[in-house]
Order: sequence, then structure tokens, then C-alpha cells
Amino acid sequence: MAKISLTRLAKISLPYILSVSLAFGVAGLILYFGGYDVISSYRTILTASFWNLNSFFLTLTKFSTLLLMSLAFLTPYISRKFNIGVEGQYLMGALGATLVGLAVSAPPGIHIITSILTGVFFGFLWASVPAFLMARYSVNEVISTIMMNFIARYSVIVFAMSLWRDVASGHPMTIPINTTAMLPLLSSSPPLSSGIVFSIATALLLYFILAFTIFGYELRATGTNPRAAEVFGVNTKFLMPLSLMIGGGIAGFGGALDVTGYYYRLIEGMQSNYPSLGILIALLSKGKITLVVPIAFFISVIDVGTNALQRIQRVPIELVLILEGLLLVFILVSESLRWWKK
Amino acid sequence: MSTASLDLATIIVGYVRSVLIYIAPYILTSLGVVISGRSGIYNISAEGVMLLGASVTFLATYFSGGNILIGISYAVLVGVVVGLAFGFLTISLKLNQFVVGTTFFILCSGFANLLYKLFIGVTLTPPSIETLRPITVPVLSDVPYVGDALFKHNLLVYLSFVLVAASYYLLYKTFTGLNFRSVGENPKAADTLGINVTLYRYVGTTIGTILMSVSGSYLVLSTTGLYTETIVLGRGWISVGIAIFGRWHPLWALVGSALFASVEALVYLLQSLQSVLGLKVPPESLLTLPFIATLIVLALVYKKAELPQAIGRPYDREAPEEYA
Repeated sequence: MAKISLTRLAKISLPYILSVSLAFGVAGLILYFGGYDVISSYRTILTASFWNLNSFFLTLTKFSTLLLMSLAFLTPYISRKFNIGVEGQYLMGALGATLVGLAVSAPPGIHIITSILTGVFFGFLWASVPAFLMARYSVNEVISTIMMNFIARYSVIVFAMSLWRDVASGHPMTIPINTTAMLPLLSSSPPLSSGIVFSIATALLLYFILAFTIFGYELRATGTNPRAAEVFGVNTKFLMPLSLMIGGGIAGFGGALDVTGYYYRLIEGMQSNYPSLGILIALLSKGKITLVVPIAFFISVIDVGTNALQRIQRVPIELVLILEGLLLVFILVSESLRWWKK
Repeated sequence: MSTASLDLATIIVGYVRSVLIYIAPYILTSLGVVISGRSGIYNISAEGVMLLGASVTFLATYFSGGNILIGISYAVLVGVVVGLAFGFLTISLKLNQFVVGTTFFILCSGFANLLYKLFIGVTLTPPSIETLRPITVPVLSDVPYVGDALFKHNLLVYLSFVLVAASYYLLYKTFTGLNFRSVGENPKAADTLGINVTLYRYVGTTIGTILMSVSGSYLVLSTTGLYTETIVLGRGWISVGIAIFGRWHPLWALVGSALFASVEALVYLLQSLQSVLGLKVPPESLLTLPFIATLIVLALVYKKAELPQAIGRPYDREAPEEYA
């Protein structure tokens, strides 16, 4: 019995192992032709997160951002909607939290909560524009959410260069938010933002909502077969835009947590390439939250590793995007090839 | 605040001229999306393919000692490779076209920046290449005002207009074009009539990505001769919007491109006139105009937008019954 399940396990995992090896193989080729030492680069990529507590905490911080970004894509994806606007929603969440963190003075607890909630609300609002256009005018959400990304990027620059501009910096960024709006650290040296607690809590909450509530059931039904769901009385016309807005709220939460818990200010470009990494994580996990968490952690490890590699050997940081993108392509190919043979 | 800079005729000529400079990438990319879509493949990776085309064109031109032809040839090669890969995943393996499109957008953008960094690195003053020289159309370019505005552009600008006419003719006035469109409308019926659905779709996808990639070349070769990570700046995504606005028709795509090129030219005109007009807005806020315009235009036309009937759906000969 155990033997059978083992071979079965091997059969199931083989395509994934092959895909990971292939993706790393291509990355290796790139490193080789770029004139880098491939083996030591691999070692750096995979182990840099565990060199010391500092880099491990950094990995956890990246992980919490990535987790929220992939959940922001995943929630609408369950109802078959493509939220490519994660970036804009994250930025607006960050902007909202910074605004409250700078403009308001309040006691610590209240100030933190209002900052973060404002961020969530800003992300939610930012996604509500494409959601409205989708519901009212049936505009494809891929294009509209992307447009909102560009508008958000410029809004961040305008905001960071205006009233609270940090004149000491050559890069567009605001001055630090009030200390009362700063999220307490989980550990002070080396520093670890408590954002990770909230992002894991979000993942758990979302898991239970999707698995055990009527809303979750209807959302999954909408994604599996919208027409059938509608026939059986699910209000798909309402659920699809709503899921997009919830995704926006989650992305905004990510932005707000990064401002109140990590950067303490709004910085142009603070989203880095995390929105893309997050979207790929969600696609890799095929809409399963139980898979998002480990994949997001794996990708954060690779990301921190690639960053270390960039500092040491000037290997371009884009390597992590390519590695993850290829991984997704190979997994998609291996799965459909298996399906093909049947 | 010199009044000389407010000479209206100069401003208008300059404006029309810059509209034509900005129109070419929109035309090339939206034509690519349209042609691909007409064969039934919804390729939303345009932005990434353009960036890759731009990067490869820059590198090939730079390392061949300024040979622009080699640069563009490499961009075409990139278009072929990306198109075949996209086709393999979406046509042969029948994967979801939005998933593949999103992934290719990210992958191509990643490769574009990676290649540039590997070959050039991070430099204080980025290297530049020579740009395409304007071709003055004989006689017509001598017409006052009109000549300066319309007939002193580089080859790719003229070529993009020729391509609109050519693709309109090929798609709507030839038998092959009819077959091609039928594959995007009703692949099952086309298949029954003996039309090779797979082949047409591969051809459509690959022509599409070639156009997108060359559109990226244009961005590098038209004005600055530099490659930057923000060189495409949403033009690829806007072009997908133009294809939708243009109902997947080449002539309407031209109209859409003209619309967005006018908006883009207006942004830069307003920026340059800011001090003269006394506008007190941050320059970045003006840059959001094309994106806001896209949202408004899409909201106005989307419900009436007609898509090729089978766009986005893989064709499976053995599927018992079409459900949609």
C-alpha cells in the first residue's frame, strides 16, 4: 500500500521536479553565458536567505509582501478575473497609509489602525474603478487594471514630490511617517516587521472564507462555470467585480503594511518587481491558497538569493523573474502534455 | 515668456509632426494584436514583446557598429521565436491565452532588461546608437507647413501606414484573408472546409509578435537611440486597448492609434508649454492622460465592441460540442 502511494507520489511530483530543474537549468545557462560561476551562484540563490538571522528576517518580510500580492491576484482569479492591477492597488494602499501617517496625529494604537485601514480602503477604491467599468460597461479588467497601475505610479510620484517631500533625497520619497503610525516590530535587532503576522492571518482568513462560506462557494462556482452558477441563482454579475475589489483591498493592505511596518515612508518604485512575482505565484498555485504559501516562500528565498547575487557579482535582478516565469511555463507544459497522453 | 514661442503655426506643425512620430508604435503593435486576434489568438503580452524588441534592437545595432538593419532583423527574429513559443502553448497545448499572455509579458520584460544589463551593465551615461534618418518625400516635403509636418519622417513611420493598408487588403479583399478570419470566427466550420486552423493561427500569432517586436525597435530607433526600462511605458497595453476599440479591424486600429498618438503628443506639448501657459500642475499628472483616456474610450465602446467570435478559445477538433 505504502509502496503504491510512493510510486504515485513520484508520478505526480515528477513533472514538477523536472520543471524546477529545467527552469534552474535555463537560469544556469544565462549565468554561464553571462560569465558567472554557475555552481556558486546556485548556492547563493538557494542559501542566502539562511546565512544569518538578518537575511532570514528579510526573506520573511519579502514573503509577507509577496503573499499578500499573490492573494490579491488569486481572489479575483478564483472567479476567473485577471487582476493585473495589483501594483497600482498596492501603491495606493501605501499612499493612503502614508497620508494618514503624515497628516494625522493620534495615539499610537488608533493611528496605526486608521493608517492601515485607509490603505486597505485606498486599494479597494482603486480596484473599484475597473470593477465598476467591468460591471457597468463590460470593459475587460486586464486592460483597465493595467491603466490604473500607470495612473497609480504617477500619483505616487506627484504625492512624494509635494507637501511631505524628503528634500534630502534625490529620489522621489516622502519624509518618515509619525512614530505613532509605525507598526511595532516583532524583533528589533535584527528588525522584523510584524507585517508577516497579518499576511499569514489574511491567508488563513481567506482560506476559511473560500472553503467554508456561501460567498466562497459561490465565488468558486462562478469561476468554474459562470453560466451554470448563474442558472443556479449565483449573482455572478455582482461577485466578479466584488472579488476584484477584495483583491484590491488585499493589495492595499500589503502596501499599508510595508509603509507602517518596513519603509515608514512612501518611496517611488517601492513595489519593485513584486507585483509580477506575486501574479506568477498565484498562477503557479492554480488558485489554491494551500499552495500559495509555500510557493511564495520559495520565491522569496530565490528573490533574496538573487538580490545577494546582484550585490556580490552584479548578476541582474531580473533573473528571479525569468526563473519564476519559466517555471510556470514548464509546469503548464508538463501538465498539458500529461493531459495530452490520456 | 517670449511671444515668439507662441507662434501658432509653428506649434501646430510641430504638434502634427509629433503625432506622426508617436503614431507608429501604436499602429504597429495594435496591428499585431488585431492580426493575432483575427486568427483567434488573444495576445496581451504586447508590452513585454515590445520591450524585448527594443532591447534586442538596441544591443544588435550597438554591437554591429550601428547597423540598424541588423538591429531590426534581430527584432524580427525575436518576434518569430516569441510567436512560435506563444503559439505552441496556446494553439498546440491549448493553454489559457490570458495566463500565457500575462506570463509572456513578465518573461519578455524580464529578458529585455536582463539582456541589456548583461551586455551593457549599469552605466553612468548610457550608450546610444544612431537613430533612423528622416526620409524627405520629394516634392511633397516642399509644401509649406504640410511638408514639415507630414513628409519628413523615418521609414518605419511610412511603413506602418503601408502595413495598415496591406493588412486591410489581405484580410478583407483576398481569399486567404477570408480563410484567415474564418479561423478566428468559427474554427470548426473552417476545419470542416479543409482550412488548416493550426497553421493559420500560428501564422497569425507570429506575424503579430513580429509587429510588436519591430514596434519596440521603432521606440529605440526613432528619437533618442537609447534603451531604458521605461521606454515602452504602457504603449503596448494601450495598443491592446486600441485593438479592442478598433473592433479588431486594421482601419479602425489606425483611427485608434491616431487618437492615442494625439493624446500623447498633447501631453508633451502641454509639458513644453507649461511655463508659457502658466499651468501649475506637476508634470507627472499630465502623463496620466493617455491612461485615463484609454479607460474612458474603452468604457464608451466596449459594449458595442465586436470580437472575433472564437478569440481566446483554443480549438479542439475532438471536442464533442462547443460550449461557451
